[in-house]
Amino acid sequence: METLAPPVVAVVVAHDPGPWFEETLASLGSQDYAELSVLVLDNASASDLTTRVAAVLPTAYVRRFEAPQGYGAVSDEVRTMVDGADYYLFCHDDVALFPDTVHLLVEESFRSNAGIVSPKVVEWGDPDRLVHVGMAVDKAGSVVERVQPFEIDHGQHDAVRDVFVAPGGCTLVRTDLFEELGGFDPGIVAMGEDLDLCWRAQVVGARVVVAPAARVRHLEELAGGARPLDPALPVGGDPEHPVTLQALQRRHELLAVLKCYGWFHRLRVVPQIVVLNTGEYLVAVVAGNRPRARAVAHAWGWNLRRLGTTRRLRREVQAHRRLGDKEIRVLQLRGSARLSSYTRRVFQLGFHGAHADELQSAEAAAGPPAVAVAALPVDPGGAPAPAAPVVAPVALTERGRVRGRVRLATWLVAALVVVVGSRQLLTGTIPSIGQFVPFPGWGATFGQFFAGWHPSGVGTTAPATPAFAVAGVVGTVLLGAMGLTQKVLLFACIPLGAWGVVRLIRPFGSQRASLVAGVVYLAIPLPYDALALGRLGGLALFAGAPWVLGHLFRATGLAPYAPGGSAPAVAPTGRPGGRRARSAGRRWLAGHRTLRACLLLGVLEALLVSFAPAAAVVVVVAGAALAGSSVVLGQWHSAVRALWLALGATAVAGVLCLPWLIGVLAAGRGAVAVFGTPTPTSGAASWGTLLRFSVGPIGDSPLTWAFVVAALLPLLLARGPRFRWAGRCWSIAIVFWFVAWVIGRGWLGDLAIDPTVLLAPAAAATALSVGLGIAAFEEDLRTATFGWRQIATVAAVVALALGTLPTLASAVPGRWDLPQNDFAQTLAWMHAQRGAGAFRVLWLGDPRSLNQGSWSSGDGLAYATSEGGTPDATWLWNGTSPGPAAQLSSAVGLARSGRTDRLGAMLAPAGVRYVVELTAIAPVIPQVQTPASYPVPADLSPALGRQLDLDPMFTESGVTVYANTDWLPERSWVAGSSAHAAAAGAIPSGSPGVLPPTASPPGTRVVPGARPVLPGPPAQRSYTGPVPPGTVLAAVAPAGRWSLVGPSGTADPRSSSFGWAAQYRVAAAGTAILRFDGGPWAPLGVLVELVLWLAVAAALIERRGVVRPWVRAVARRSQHRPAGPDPIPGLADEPTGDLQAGADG
Amino acid sequence: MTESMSRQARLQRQTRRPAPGRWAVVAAVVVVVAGLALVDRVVAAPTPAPAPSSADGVPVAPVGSYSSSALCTGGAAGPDGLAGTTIYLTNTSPVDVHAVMTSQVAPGTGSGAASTGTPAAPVQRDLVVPARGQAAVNPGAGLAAGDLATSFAFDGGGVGVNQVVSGAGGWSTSPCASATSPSWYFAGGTTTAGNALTLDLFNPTSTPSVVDVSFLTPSGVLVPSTYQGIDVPAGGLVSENVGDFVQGQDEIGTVVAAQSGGVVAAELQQWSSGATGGIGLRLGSPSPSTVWRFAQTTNTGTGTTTFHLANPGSTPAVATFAIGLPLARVVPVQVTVAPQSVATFVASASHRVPTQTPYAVTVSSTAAIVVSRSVQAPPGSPPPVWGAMAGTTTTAVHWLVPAPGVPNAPGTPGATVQSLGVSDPGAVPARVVVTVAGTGTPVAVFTVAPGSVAVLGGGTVGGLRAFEVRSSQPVVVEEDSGPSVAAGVVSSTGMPFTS
Repeated sequence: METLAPPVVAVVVAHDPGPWFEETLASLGSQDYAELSVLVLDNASASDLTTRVAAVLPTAYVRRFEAPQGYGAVSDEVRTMVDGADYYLFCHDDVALFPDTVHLLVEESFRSNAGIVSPKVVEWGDPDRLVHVGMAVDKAGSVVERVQPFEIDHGQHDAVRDVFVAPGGCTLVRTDLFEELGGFDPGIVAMGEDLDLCWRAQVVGARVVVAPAARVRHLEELAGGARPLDPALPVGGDPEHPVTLQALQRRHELLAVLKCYGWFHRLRVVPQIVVLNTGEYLVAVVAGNRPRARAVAHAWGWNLRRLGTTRRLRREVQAHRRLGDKEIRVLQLRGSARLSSYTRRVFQLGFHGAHADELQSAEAAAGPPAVAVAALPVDPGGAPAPAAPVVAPVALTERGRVRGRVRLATWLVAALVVVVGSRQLLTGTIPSIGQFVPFPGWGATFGQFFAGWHPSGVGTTAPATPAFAVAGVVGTVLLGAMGLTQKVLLFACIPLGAWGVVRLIRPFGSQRASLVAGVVYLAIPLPYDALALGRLGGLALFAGAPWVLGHLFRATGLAPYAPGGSAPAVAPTGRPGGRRARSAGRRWLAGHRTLRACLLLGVLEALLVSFAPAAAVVVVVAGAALAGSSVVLGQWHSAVRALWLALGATAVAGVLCLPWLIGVLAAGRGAVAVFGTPTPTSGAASWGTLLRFSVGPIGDSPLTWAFVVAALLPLLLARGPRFRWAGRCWSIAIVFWFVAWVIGRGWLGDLAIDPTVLLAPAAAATALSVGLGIAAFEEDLRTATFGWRQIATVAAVVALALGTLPTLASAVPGRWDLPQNDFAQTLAWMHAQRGAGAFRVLWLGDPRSLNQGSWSSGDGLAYATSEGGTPDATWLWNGTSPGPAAQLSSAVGLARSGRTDRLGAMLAPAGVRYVVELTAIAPVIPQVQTPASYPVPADLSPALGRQLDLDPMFTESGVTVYANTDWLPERSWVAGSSAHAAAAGAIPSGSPGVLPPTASPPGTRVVPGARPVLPGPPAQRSYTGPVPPGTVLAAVAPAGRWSLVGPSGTADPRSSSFGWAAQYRVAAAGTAILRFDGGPWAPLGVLVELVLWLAVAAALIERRGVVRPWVRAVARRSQHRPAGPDPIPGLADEPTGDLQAGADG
Repeated sequence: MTESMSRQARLQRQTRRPAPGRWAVVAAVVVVVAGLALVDRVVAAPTPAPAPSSADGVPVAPVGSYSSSALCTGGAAGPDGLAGTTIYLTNTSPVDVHAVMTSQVAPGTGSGAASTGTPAAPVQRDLVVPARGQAAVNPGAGLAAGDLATSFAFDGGGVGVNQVVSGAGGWSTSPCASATSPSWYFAGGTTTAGNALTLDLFNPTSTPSVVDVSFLTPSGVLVPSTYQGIDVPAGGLVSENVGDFVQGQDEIGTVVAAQSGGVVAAELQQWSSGATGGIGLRLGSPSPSTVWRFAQTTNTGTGTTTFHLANPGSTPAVATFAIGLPLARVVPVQVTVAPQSVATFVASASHRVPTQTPYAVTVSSTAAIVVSRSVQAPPGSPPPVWGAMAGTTTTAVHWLVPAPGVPNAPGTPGATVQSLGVSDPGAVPARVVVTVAGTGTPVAVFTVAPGSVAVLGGGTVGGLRAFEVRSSQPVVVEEDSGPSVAAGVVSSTGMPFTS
């Protein structure tokens, strides 16, 4: 019977369909729409589908592809095979239509004049549950379901309406529209072809509607993860990291955005996507959600590689445009659907919960057999290599589970307290207190690392600490904003530390314990004291100590820190082809787990040591404490591995910092000074103060005893591993308290380490112990009757709550007691004095008062220099040995012992114009700020006051400035020869290294008639200026590395002055250059250091799988294929062939 | 149900069972933490070293120093001066010490801040103080008459410098300062009829100094505007006649405070009563103190021994005089000094103190004060009949006692060391060795009982020899020089070595 109904061709793309396929075919065969033809496109199924099709739907046509292709490419075949149809009904092979579906779709297409019509999609096994009723899209192309998961169909979505995307399981498309659009994008192999098609349809002005009256059941075998993606499909990626469905979806969403927007909206939206994706990538990396991170990276990599193709496709789209983007945008969601969804999930599940669920989904979606085989390295024989031990999964106990919302709220409150407590520092300028001094600028910061010369003291060629390079790298990431770099370096330490503690306790499987331990670590006053006192090292160790302990704990292999915890999930033990030789080193590395652990901890230690050299002591002592405690608690054989790891990691850190280490060791016995400058023993922290972690103004309250008291809980309650690890934590804490106490008393000689550094591991151990108490309460008291144990737990919780009060109270002012005014402001006038010649400032005081690295002058007095005024971070990390600057200390010592009253003359050869005596970390301003005060030895002030050539020109509370009336500019010139300087060139043997004594009245200059030359900013390695004939004196060391080059280009004759400096004989007037020539060794050392860092980083990053798969894919492709976009096995190359009949065809 | 209950009971029993070694671990933790807390309490952290005493601004730089200075002022230059000045340098080191001496006189025009005179160019001379020897210089040679200031820059240490002023009224000796100070304090001046009180402000540094001077009197503090903001130029000397603005005051304390820089201040008190008189040259004290010491004081029968107290502070000071006789102690005497005021204690009028017996005096005060002593010989004695010296705040184990001259150039004709007193203000007996300065030749070895004084008479220490006093305990040393009628008229405290 002939009808007037428009012909419809159902296009079923099938690939190895399961048993449901017959039901799909049957549903098509049972349609009440007379003008329906069925075309089955067999996408290279393992077995020919013709027989199966013929058995159910003999009238159907079958077209078989011998090689698997993408869904779009296969579907587009219909354009060449079908003629005369008005509609195409594109179907997956796992959908089942209701008998009236096709006619309802066609009817709605006529009624709504829609180009694309989508039915209501319900679950295959439960038609009352909705799967899709059309889909929405935001401006970034993120597809959003209009229904909730498992939503029951009550008819709530039964109105016909416009949607942005007709989901791809079953879609009716008008033929003329399909032709105008050029069909599906053949480059889209899977996922996202529906978005692309619908968006382009919108662009050409077609409507996309959903007709809920028409229903289909959809199994969603592929999208649901039940059926893996055929590894033979040309999706890109590499065997180790195959492209996931998520990655496909992301890249095709981005492709749609790049294709379908006009230039204006592309310009507007793409940067937003970049920002959002960058944030998403970082969060995913932090959360350990590697599939998501890889998906984001893959999306950009894939699209950037095929920009040419995209540009061509975009031109085609724009050529057919009928609607502007503005009108299309109306159909899209506002804001970022993905961000909203993520935020909602975080609120519901918590940060880790949101990612953990996604990871589980990803694992489920990945499916075990095919994808896993693709991911596994294959040995030459083709068999998957055996997998290495995997990370012991976190076994969350039900009792320890905390609702995600509660956890998120808790962390938000904790973060809020930290942010509120730091608000003035975050929003304002950080004052120069202690080690918090501004970086000199991006280039200068890097320059200090590469220069080979450092201006500390009177100059040294000791290699610089890698801290300059680290700061420079961070500054690079922050686009050279070194102020922001300083804030990031300072304030990132607090959350990093808390995160480390949470990770440290996670293996015990209690979310509540993790939460409590993290919060306790944040509530301990230690980091805020470090902030208040300007202790950068203390903050660094606060961040690093939990991670260090984590590595050591894992090294023991003791439960629950499973062996191989840091091993990769899949050991890269073999790869096919030419990659074998390249990865031999890495394979070898993979087989040596201890070495890998050493490298990991070594890198961490190297980073910490760069900023706080005492971190090396912390790592070794922590390893020793762990091993020692296990001697008592058992299993010491395992624990000794931690000690070996600590020693090995320290060796690795030493290698990574090799040039700097050589410079340190060159100081001989004085090398111990690298850990810190001794402080007066009279002000040492008491044992109780150390136990309370209150070594500064924050937390100076008896309430802070609560942390130690609460940490006792697991010793009383815990059993098994919790008890043993609590014992180990206590051992570690006690050892570090003890070391801090002993060093504070001065009983370890010249070894001086800031207590904030030593207390950091003790704080981490205490927080961990508190967390173990919570875990013990959950697990070990589960079946206990009510008694003292429960009461003790409640008491501990109450104590903890009370213990946090001092920190909370200290957060109110918003700057953790960090003074507002600093000496840099007080002494800013010094900078204006540079016009009279370059000069140095000699700083004297307690080492904690000084804003730069210092050396000991005995009795807890430290000395340091700066150039041209107050110091910046250039002077923060000194060479271990003061070199000739030791003369300054000798001179001060002579003054203190009453052996000279002409200190100014003795300091003059070093260009010291001002002597600054500090007795506090900042100026004391009544009713404004009362900074921590650190008195100097009582004999210093009288000694300085006695000096006839030191004029006490400036005195404030906390600082006294003496002007040296006999000073000599750092770079000065005298007519003729400088007899004084030359005569002073020979320092008598056995002398403390200062000028020979001379009898001269006050006011007699060391070098009469000297005037400044060669101007320039401080800490440069080259100075230029006009110089008349005469003698130029340069107070920089080492003199042999500096030369004065005259206008003729030849170096002027150099001779010694003052025993360590240089004087140059200038024969002819002209412009001269005083410059440093470090020779090849310093750059070579830095180069070696960089190579070492890169090598270790490459090894570790490879191991971590962070290198983007597409990088390797590109490399491999460049070896095996010509460059260019992925070739799509196109239909054009295929013979059109005949329509195959069904069983009889 | 039964099975479930028994399982629960098993779990409960398991929970109650202590973990192996639990109590040992708990006990170890508690013992270690508590034990270290106990040790921490018992072995208290060392207290910071106390500030060294100011040594009254006259310490001798130790032998082997790289540089040291001596700053002398208060004397006068030229034959027309009220007093001639001789400076004696005693080198205790085994090497020659070179020095550059710079002398100059005050402009002498105007007074106070209005001093406008152009200072004469200073005279500079190079000197060598022989190893273990002495040297005498006349700093006024080549200079115009006027108040004099002299500085010595040495290329070593171990050199003690004292100066002697002499004139018709008598003579006096005083150590020279070794450092400047922003403040100086004096007690015991007077501007009554027959007295002339001169305040010399010497700035040996290369930066100018601005000085305020005020005076403490029994009726309160006087702040003459003329004496505020006195500009003492670099290397310059300003000499002020106190009587010009503080007239007729029987008892004056002087406070010198520099607004900027540092100076050396000395007072020269000249008393004349017709045919007789006296001179008192006193270096100020850099700071007030709560403890002052005088090693040896002797009350003569008809003479007068007076202690002068000045309280520059804003709170009353109660000064307690502890008087130690060689074999006994006298009941302490208390004197109250009002804020910013002065007071005296006439020791010779006290019946508690026997006459002709040397005694040591330690003045302890509830507030920081300044104390000096004056001695007036019995009426009718030949000049000098009056003299004064400042007390000391210093105790030391090594002292230099300079001679009042050298054989070829005595401080005054017939000058000699009449006695040398050593008092032990501590609680432990001090074993004392007195040697000739520089040579180590022992002169006397003796023990001083706590709180008492031992005095070596002229028979032991007479002549013009400088001495070094070494002691096992910190002591105070004072020298009495002649010729004078009564002990204490021409006397001076020794110079402590800084180390």
